[in-house]
Amino acid sequence: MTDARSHVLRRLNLPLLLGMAALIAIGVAFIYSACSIREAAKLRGLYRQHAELALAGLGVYLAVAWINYRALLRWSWLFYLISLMLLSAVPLVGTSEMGAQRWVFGLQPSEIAKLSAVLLVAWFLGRREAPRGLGAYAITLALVVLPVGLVLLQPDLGTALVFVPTIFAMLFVAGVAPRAFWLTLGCGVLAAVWVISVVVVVETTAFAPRTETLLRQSTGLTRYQQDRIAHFVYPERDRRGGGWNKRQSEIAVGSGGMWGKGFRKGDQNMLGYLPQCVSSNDFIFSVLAEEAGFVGALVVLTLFALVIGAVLTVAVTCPDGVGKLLCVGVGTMMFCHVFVNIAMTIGLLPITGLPLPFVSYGRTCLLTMMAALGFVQSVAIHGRQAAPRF
Amino acid sequence: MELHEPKPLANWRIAVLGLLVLSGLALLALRLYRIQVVRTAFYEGRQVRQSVRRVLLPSPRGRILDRQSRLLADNQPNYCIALYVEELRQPGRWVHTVDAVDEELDELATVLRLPRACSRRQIEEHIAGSLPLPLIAWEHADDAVLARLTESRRRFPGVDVFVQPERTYPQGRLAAHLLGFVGRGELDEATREGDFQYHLPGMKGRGGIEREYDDQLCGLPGGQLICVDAAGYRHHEWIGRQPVPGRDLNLTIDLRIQAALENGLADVCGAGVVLDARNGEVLALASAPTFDPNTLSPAPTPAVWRDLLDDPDHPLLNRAIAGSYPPGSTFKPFVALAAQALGGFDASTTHECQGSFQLGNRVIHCASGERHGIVDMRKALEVSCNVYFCTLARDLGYSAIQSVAQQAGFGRRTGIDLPGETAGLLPTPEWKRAHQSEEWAVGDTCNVAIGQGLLLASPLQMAVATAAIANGGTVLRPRLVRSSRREEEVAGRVEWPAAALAVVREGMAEVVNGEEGTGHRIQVEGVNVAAKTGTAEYGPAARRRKYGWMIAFAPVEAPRVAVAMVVEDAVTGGVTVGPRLQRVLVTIFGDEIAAGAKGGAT
Repeated sequence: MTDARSHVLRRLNLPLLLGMAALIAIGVAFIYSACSIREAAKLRGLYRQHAELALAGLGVYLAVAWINYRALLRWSWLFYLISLMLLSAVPLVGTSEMGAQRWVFGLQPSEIAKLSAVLLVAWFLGRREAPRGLGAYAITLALVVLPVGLVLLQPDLGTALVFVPTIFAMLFVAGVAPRAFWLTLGCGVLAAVWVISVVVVVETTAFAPRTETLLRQSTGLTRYQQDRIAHFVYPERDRRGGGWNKRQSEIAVGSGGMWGKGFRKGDQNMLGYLPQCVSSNDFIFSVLAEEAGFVGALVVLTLFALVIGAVLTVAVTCPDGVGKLLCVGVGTMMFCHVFVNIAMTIGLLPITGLPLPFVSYGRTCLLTMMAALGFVQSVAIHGRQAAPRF
Repeated sequence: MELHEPKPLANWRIAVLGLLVLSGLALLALRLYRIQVVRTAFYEGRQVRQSVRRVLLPSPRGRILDRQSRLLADNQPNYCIALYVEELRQPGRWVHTVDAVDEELDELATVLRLPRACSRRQIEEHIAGSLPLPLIAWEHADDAVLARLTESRRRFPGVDVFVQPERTYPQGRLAAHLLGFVGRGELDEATREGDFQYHLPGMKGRGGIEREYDDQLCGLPGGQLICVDAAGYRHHEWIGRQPVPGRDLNLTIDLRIQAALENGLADVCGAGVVLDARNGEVLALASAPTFDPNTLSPAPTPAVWRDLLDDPDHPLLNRAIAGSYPPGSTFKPFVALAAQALGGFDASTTHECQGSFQLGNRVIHCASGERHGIVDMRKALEVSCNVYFCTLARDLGYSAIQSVAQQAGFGRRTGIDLPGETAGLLPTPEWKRAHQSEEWAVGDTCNVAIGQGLLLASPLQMAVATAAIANGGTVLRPRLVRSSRREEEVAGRVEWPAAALAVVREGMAEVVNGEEGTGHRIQVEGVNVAAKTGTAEYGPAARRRKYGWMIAFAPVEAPRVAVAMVVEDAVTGGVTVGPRLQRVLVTIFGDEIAAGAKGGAT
């Protein structure tokens, strides 16, 4: 047993653990700043909840890391089914906030669904005897379409935007049905171009109502989502809704300058121009960039680069397919979160409700992300241990 | 079985993924560098623009009070709902911003349940002319409107309320002409301070005392920069400059006398002035018809303005200082003075009045065709004999009359502290030659001697000249605000022989008290009044109309007040003006009369 323990400790991937811890610490500090002017004492204490939850998350992390991922992934289908059930419970018993129904039993099933899909796909495609043909490709897509469809019903475009690249990255690394893969990717890009151009054209041209309705329906997006895109292209059209958040976030980041305005000294944050209902979660990066400046923002980017780099390194060194795919999935998922979140706070992407991993306040997201890194840690520890056998 | 062994997953694919991740993060870093380092100033500017407000702290305008500190002009708060246009600023052409403001105003109007008070045209003008200032969308917001605004404040981040003091005149129409009124001032370059502009165009005096003493009344407005949070609430502030309130003005006007004077003019066109004959303080100065300055401040509605301008009686004209009238017989005392002081005539100079005076082919009659018989100077004043004064003037020559009239202040401004004063007209042979291309004739001299013809004077000039007779030759500079310097009170001192003055005073006393006096209607019990009536004809021959005049001073023994009043379209000076002026004198001396009566009883 002592042998096994020292073995675990020796193989523990430290950059993975420390990078994550640093990001969480930064998160606690800036959630404190973002919530410090809120009136309710409960909301001012949000940073403590984040810290406490991180401690609980550390337990989950260590537990998952301790257990061999191969044993766990045998049950990934069960995990997947549970998350599907939670997702379908959202429209029935869920609570809604800000135009989207995302919560059930205090959890956000869409966050859990992302991880469970990554686990299941990793197990499905990563085994040595796994099929890599068109059939496998079709099954994988089917496995993803189910949760993505349910997520889009909420509607949660951001989560869907993370899902798709993650799964495609895994398909790419697994090398499944290359022709079909590239074809789908090409069609996807074309569809995206179509949707955006339709929204822009409809916004700027006066069509007959019938034509406009048809064009809008052809995008497959709800009016709310179309407006989000429109506001991204024409931010001044809507000053108080999504346009407001985008504008204020950009002002916050930009006015932060090189060194920032100082901790708890950001005008945009302290004067409430960054809406307080989103500054501690989706827009935590704006608070950070305003108060810690370009330097602070760069530190956060570097930490993410470090963590994602560590995840991909584990993938490279792992001898078995399941471990590799698991790491690729987690790494891509994390990168998508980081990219979409930061890009929207600096006006590169439309506003979508997507948290910044570890830094944003958000219970489910924090726990899922920590669990995900726990799996990667497990791959680091157990990957080279024994011959893979499924 | 080797064939069925699947290929291990390719690590190069993971490396490609890693490159994608790195380039993604690098893209973010580049964009962050651009926003945070390259364009810091731009975003800082936007941040400041939306959270820093200029707050205008208007200086309350000084109040205007009468000599007993009764309020004539005051301020009351006016709650304005204003829009900070900069916050609604749209990129591209200004039309977009105008659209945005227009929309916002519509929304606000619905929420506040007020009709739109600011047109699209006004928005355009505001943006073109005074962008840094808040656009005033509504004025005089009441409590209910302000409450509705507070409830929905979050929805309208660029909207704010500020208080502007507004001028009111608690006495309404009373003393309107001398007070004047105020209007919004223009924005001038001098009031800009650096990048921040504190000034809202303040109130500017538009007439009367408000204009004459504008510098003292207006004070110095202050300003503040405050930092507001997203909901528009004050977060913290930097004091810019405290406003300096305007100085209160105490006028020499006595509200009681002013009211009495205006009552006397209530039903006619005309004007009157009451002076303190000892020092030139104006106790009352009125012109009729009058107007309500409250309807003109800060800006009259077009209808009100049009009505005032179209009124044939010209209510905005201050007849007391800007009205030029032939003084009629009220000028005779000065002819009498000239004859004694410069002509070597004396009180015993007599002429026989046959009712008319012929000069060439012109005939001048005495009033009502009366024949006064043989009259001396005192009697001639008492009965206002035209024949006597025409004869006297013919014998005397014009230059003596002209020089005494000049000494008494005719033909030049009195220098009262009010804008728009007229100089009247004291004709000279040179003037006639220049303006009418005719030589001066004896007939002109006679005409002037009875206050007709080319001679014109304002009621104020008549009051000042009357005061000079009353006080022994001091031509005063009338004032509405006491001057700190004593010498400013006097415009000139004239050396008229005491005996000559005495004759004129006695003659004027007889006008009131004599058996045949033309002005006995002005008699005030208990006070010895001296006066002179006058009736000057004007208008086309077919529809002759008359200005009724009366000048007076009292008490005769030690004159304290000098008054002058003119009524347009009068019967005669004595009949029309006499009773009106009598009531004014009763008001002035009322307390003393009562006290005197009481004293006599005990």
